[in-house]
Amino acid sequence: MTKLNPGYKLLTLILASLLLSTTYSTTLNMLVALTALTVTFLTPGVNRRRLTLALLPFLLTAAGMFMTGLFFSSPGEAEIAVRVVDQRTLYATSWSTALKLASRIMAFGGLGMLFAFTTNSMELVMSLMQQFRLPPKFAYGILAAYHFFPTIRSEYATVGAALKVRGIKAFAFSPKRIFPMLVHALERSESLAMAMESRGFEGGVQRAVAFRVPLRAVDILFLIGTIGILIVGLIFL
Amino acid sequence: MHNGGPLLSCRNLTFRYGAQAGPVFENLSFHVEQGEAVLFMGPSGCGKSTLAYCLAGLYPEYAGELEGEILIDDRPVSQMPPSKRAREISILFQNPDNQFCMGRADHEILFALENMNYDGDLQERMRELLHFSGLYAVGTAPIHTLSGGTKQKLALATSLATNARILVLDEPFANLDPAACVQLAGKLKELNRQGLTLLIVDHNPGYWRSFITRIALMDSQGTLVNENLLPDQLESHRELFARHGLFLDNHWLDGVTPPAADPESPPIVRAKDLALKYEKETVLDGLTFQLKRGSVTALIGQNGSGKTTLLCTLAGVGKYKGELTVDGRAGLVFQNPRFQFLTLTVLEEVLTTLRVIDPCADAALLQKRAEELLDEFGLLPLKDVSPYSLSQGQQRRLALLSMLAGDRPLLLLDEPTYAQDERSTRKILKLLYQRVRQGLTAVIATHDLALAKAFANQILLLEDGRLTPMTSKDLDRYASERGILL
Repeated sequence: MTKLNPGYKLLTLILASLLLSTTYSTTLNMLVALTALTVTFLTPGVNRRRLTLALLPFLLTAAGMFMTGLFFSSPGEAEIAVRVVDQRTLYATSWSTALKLASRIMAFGGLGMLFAFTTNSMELVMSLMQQFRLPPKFAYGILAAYHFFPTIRSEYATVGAALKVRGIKAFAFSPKRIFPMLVHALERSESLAMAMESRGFEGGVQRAVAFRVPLRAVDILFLIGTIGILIVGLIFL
Repeated sequence: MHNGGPLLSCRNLTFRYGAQAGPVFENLSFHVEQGEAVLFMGPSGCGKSTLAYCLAGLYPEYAGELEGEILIDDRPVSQMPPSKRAREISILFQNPDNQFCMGRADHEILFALENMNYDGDLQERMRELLHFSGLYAVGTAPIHTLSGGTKQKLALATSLATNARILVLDEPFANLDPAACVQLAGKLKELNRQGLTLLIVDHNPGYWRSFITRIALMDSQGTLVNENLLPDQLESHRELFARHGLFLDNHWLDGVTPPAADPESPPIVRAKDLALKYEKETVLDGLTFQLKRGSVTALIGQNGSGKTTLLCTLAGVGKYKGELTVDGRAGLVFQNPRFQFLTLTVLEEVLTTLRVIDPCADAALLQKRAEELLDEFGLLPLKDVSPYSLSQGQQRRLALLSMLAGDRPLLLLDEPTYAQDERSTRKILKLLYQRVRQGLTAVIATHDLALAKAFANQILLLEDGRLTPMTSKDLDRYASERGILL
């Protein structure tokens, strides 16, 4: 899974999500969720503890939706809610509604996890640049911003410490904390742009490619296969 | 390619940050020959960093307006597109943190090679550069985990990847420990010997003296006073350096002595078997020490040895195990004081602190008190200016003041003298000295071993997670073992 072309993997999973959004089939949704999560879990190199932790919010949301579906969908009383979403026929019984809602969350969550846990951010950006014509200016800008996260986290801690030492109380996202960080972010973006330029970076000129992300037959096969199976599922399930 | 004339010539350069603003420098003209290493020195705010950015072709594109011409081999820098310009001239910035866009050292070098459309084996060239810069072992490590010195070496390697003929260096040592300075200076010396032309901007000739061709000295108006000071004749220009408030060597410390602390005075800080963590990892262990009231303690050690972590703990913002008692609250001045400014004017910054210690005080009284303090620190004329637009030295003084105004008995300073000229370093030390005589206890984390030796009553070394008290003799040995100038 980690060897697939990230750009095409993303395309496949977006198409898959779009297809899934047309259905309320519990069986199909559950099958997709289970397959995606199993594949993710079995992919070598995936941090399984983090995967489990990342799944928690989805499980909670799914459970929440399940309860909502269970308690608020009996055909007689749910007239208003039903008309708002314009899906009257789908609210047949409480159980099936509850399952439909919950399984949808899990299916989308599963696809998201599959992508997030098996894709390297740099390869994704390189693939978007090489196969989907993302301009290098954006591509390297995105990478730079992404790589600044650890620095920003330690800056946040420094500003917090500075406030505490001065005896000033500020809650987690108080303007007092954010303001110095914003000033820094502005300076940083400028100095980074200058650094990139002084290393010869220029949009729109010929550049050598050190990070080639290949597009292979297996990527196309994955795209066609996944979409094909889903369409078959949509028709028969 | 080279036609016998100077490699770089500047003609009548005048730079302003805005159309209405006064010139930073005016009618500046000079030449640099192929293979020279020229050090530009001048008081803080004289425009030498601005000049560096202009030479590298970044200004006026990113800020300000430039008149005059900068020519490399008779071709104007302003007309070169970035990918061509980088083959001629590249720059190393003061702050090692804000110059990388990739996550790993090897990728960063490859990025520069890609930009140059390098037509050989990219991986092979990348490995060569890692090797030359002494980075082979950390090639695949995430950049944000590297020390400041390693980051500067990486910045150097990426500059070399562009194959530039001229390298501009804007105070590249500012954030580095002395051992890292010695290493980086050694690499630059080697490159200069191989023909790379260096244009250096720095406050201190120390590490450069052994190989630069000449020093160009600017005054506070940005005029070139003398562009031909030879490194072996600097002694005869001592008076000139002093007049402009610039470091020549460490003789400026001659009159400085540690404050006369009473050996019987009670300790204000007592630590026993202290263990400290940084991001879940125990970085310091078994720390036992005392700080006597009214004394100055210098904390030395390499980048990443835990100096800042220890200061934060003493200031009450770090977790620890073991015994620690601090009588009264501590103030902390961060290495980058910009992180601790909260308001939009200098006056408001001091008032904020005063209000915290006395929330019920009369506003007019506080205003008067704040203005008195600003006057003492030489900042009163700037009271309505934004703290972010002050010079580095002024920012440092304001940060110091905003802590001292809180009447703290213990003051912790992280690198209080870095990236400053002699005049503003002296000012800070003088202000500190006065307060220490009135009973303040100070701890200074510093890379400046000469300062530590001259000014501190007690020197503590942090190394390999341990704390060791040092005598003056120990310090001399420590410095000479690492090739550090004292």
